[in-house]
Amino acid sequence: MNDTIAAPITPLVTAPVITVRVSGSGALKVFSAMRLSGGGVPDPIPNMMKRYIFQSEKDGIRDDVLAVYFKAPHSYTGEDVVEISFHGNPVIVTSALGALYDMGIRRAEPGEFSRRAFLNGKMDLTQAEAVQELISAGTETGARHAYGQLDGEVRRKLDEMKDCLLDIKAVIEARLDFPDEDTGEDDGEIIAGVKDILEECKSLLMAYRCLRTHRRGFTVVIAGKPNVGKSSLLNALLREERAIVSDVPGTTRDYIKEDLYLGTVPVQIVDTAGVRESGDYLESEGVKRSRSKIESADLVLVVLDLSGVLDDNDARILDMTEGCERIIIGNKSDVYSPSGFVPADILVSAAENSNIDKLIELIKEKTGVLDSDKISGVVSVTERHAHGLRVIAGVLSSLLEDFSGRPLDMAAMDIDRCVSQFEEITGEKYTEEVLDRVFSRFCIGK
Amino acid sequence: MNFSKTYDVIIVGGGHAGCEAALASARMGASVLLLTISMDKIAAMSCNPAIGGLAKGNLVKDLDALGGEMAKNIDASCIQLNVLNMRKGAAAQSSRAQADKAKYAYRMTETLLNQRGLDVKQAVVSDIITENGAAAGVKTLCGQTFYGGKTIICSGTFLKGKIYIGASFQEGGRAYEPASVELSDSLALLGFEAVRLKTGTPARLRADSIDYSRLAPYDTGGDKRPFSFETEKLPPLEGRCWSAYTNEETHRIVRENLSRSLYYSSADKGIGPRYCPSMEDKVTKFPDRSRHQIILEPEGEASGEVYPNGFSTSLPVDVQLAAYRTIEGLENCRFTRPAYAIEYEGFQPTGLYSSYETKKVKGLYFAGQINGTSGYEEAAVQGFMAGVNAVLSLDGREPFTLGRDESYIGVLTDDLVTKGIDEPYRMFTSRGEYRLRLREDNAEYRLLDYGRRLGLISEKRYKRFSEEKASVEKEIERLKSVSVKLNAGNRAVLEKEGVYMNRGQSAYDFLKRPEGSYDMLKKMGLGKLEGRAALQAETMIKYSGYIAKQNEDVARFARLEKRKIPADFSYDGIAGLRREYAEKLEKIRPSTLGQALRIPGMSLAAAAILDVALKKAGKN
Repeated sequence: MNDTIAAPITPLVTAPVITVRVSGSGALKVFSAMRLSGGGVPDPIPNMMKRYIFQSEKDGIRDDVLAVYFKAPHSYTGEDVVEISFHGNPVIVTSALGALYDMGIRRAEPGEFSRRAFLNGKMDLTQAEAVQELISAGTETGARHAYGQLDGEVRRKLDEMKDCLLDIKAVIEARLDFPDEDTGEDDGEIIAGVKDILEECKSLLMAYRCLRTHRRGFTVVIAGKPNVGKSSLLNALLREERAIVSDVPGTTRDYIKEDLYLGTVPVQIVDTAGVRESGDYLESEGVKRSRSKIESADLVLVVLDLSGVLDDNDARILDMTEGCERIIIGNKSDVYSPSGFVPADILVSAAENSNIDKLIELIKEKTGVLDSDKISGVVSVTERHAHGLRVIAGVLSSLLEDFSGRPLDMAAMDIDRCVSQFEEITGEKYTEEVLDRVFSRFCIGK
Repeated sequence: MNFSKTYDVIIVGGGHAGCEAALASARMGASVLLLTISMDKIAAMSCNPAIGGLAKGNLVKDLDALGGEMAKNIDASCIQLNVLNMRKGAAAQSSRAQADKAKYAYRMTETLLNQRGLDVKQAVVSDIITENGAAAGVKTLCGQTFYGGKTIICSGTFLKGKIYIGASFQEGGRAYEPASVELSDSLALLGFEAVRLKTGTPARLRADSIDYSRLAPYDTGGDKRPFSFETEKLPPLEGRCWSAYTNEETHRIVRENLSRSLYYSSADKGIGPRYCPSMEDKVTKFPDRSRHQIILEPEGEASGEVYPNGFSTSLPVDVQLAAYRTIEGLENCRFTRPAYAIEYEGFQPTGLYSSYETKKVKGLYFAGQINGTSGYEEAAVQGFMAGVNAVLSLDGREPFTLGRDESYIGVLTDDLVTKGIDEPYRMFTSRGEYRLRLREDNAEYRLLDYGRRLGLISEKRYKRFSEEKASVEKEIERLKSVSVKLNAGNRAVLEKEGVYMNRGQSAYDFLKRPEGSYDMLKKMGLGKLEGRAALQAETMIKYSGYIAKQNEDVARFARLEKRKIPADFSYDGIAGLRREYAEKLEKIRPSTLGQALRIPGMSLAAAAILDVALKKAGKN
């Protein structure tokens, strides 16, 4: 109950100011990401508002903020509270929240500040009827309500998934509890059902990712060994999309950042230092930094030089980006037109500007910028839904690896975990429903 | 006629709940009286000749680990025994035994009669005597009065029981045995509101009228492990079951005669169990099924009667016989007893505390079918818990209850007192959210300490268990440091077992593989344990990952489960607590915040408000 939580208490949209509230015994931790605007380490005095610089190492974001500390119990929630007012850019605030989560601060559930205020006796109990509504908003009724508010299409998909999941659970439970009955031996139906749910999870998560991308922008990293044409590719992309918003020189010698818009989405393109080191120098600083850029990228453009021979350096980059969302680009198609097998998704010539428009389409497609249809329904999918779907997808993928190989009681527990995630998403309990399904589907009873 | 002796505990009913209640309370040192309508019907198996089955087997084993009698009684009287679901995982495995009904009842009757501190008498109880709102004794139909501080009612199907066959019904608690009418009236006077429940039983067939040459033997396979952890030797297991099937002609006869069943066609019926439908229900609800399986189970080793499991009905006897005779193998079958439906009274178990004491009358306990459950095993565990708690309350000691994470007994009790029933309640493994912990194999690990503290477990048994447990723990540690090397000998063993490994690994990790078994380790000379201990080590290792995850869930809810609500806590005037929630809480009187949250329709918000109110009350 007493972990530290944070959330914006003003709408997270472009506005003059966005205020974030942090509450809990670890609220003061947030000052570690701040220094006084005149320089110096913060030494917050309760109830006194001061100017600070908020800086997040990881994202490199920085903002002038106003912050005030309310000492427990003299705060809204009755716990230690820090309220920080940022400039009203949702991108900055989202990154700042990310920095807070990295400190072990948890995202507040809807209504959670009020709930804590109530539990700590900060609210007048005579208003409790109203308070209860507030509390409910953060709990299962809230989830039910939020679920009811979901866009028709998403809701329909979630309902189908839930239905399919409960059917699978019913079959498994029937096989466990009624071994004498004719509940079927064929795993095919269950496996197909699991696959369907998994696919739906993935497609909803993809759509959710697109939505987030739209809000926050995304990072594309260009990677490749030296002289494959990374810089000319970057220039070609910039030439194609004229809307350059800023020109931030690279802060280190190792990479260069450029910002541009694809459609309405801010994109940051990072040109990594060529992974030129070989053998002994593999773990040198430059490669390490390139590697960390690649890991945090939304999309990696791997550039191969078609005019040369693919060597170990290329292989290394291909290995390194294996698990990433990536596009493998065969560059210098003007010099060498390949025949036979080339492991590239697209062939371009950065120097001749050929096929760059196709590449941009491909980037849009991979990052979901193109597909505004996907996004329309997902606006109401919250991070909480996405979290649940990610857990479900994880459990189901591992279940599919060897469904028939593992004992049925273990599979049942995996399915239970998925069901309980669904209960969190929809705010309903399905315990009785499963038994109802068993009895309506199978003629149980000898 | 008043008996001068005052008993500590009086038990009404000698069925499976009554027997366990009587033995547990007498063995805990109380002076106990058990009253039964018929001395000849103690521990009668009124329906199928079997003990155990999915989740029920777990109940019996848990009861054994606590010091109950059912496991030993079935071990001594079984004619067949199998562990079901051998290949579906340890938590899906349950034992089931075919019983010799007569032997089962005989042995239990003898056990009761030889139990020190226990009197057994034949009498029909007509009244509950109360003093100052607390139970004080019982009166019988022939005018006797017995005084006792605690009374446990285990009335089974006898309270205002009505037996339906065809167009007529007659009062009865079991075929041709008297129902208990006056007791029901007495309970109504005390303010208990009855619900009418229903169950049914098939006809019994003459064994020599069945053509076994036309039937396939029915054998579930599976290991043969005794129910009791103390049983060392089982009787010869020679009982055999047979599989038969109904057909379209059977269904046609049943369908065309539905109107001749008074029970089936009456509008105001008691609530029957969905998992045990009559043939009338089967043909109506599943019209597309062309056949239903019927298992023919012998009623005993030397019994001439056979129990056709799956064909209960309340049709007239002539229709019953015609329908049965359509079944291949039963063309010439003859009945010894017809099938019937029985309607009886129970009471919503939400009127009970987790100790099985009624909220209305102090010192009055209900156990078994009176609480809306079905099944011998469900009844037995309730009788045991009620007996134990009756004795504990004599000295004002805390009631003994089990958590949902400790035993299916805990799940059963919590479900009953928190949710109530909407059909006769039977235990399923799917009712337990912590199934992987509640396995048959580890019953002693979960519960033997409790049984010992209650004084129901011998030191000899406890010592045997402690040694077994230590050897298992030691072996698990040892297996972490022993490796399965891929030498020629091991390769040969693994190849024969169909296990393919590309490199060696620790014996511990080997057991975590789905196909790895302790038996294989032994073949490679790497396992030191035998029998039950070996199986325990294997299971603990194999499930360690999943159980760790389940333990996290248990820990997550532990705070709520540990938060006690005082028995006299007032739900009046808690600011912000809506009346509908206050009423639910007042009715159920949950003992913990966790239980409060499980009340149907309860909200997290209401629980949060209750949490605050409890905190405040704790401070004052």
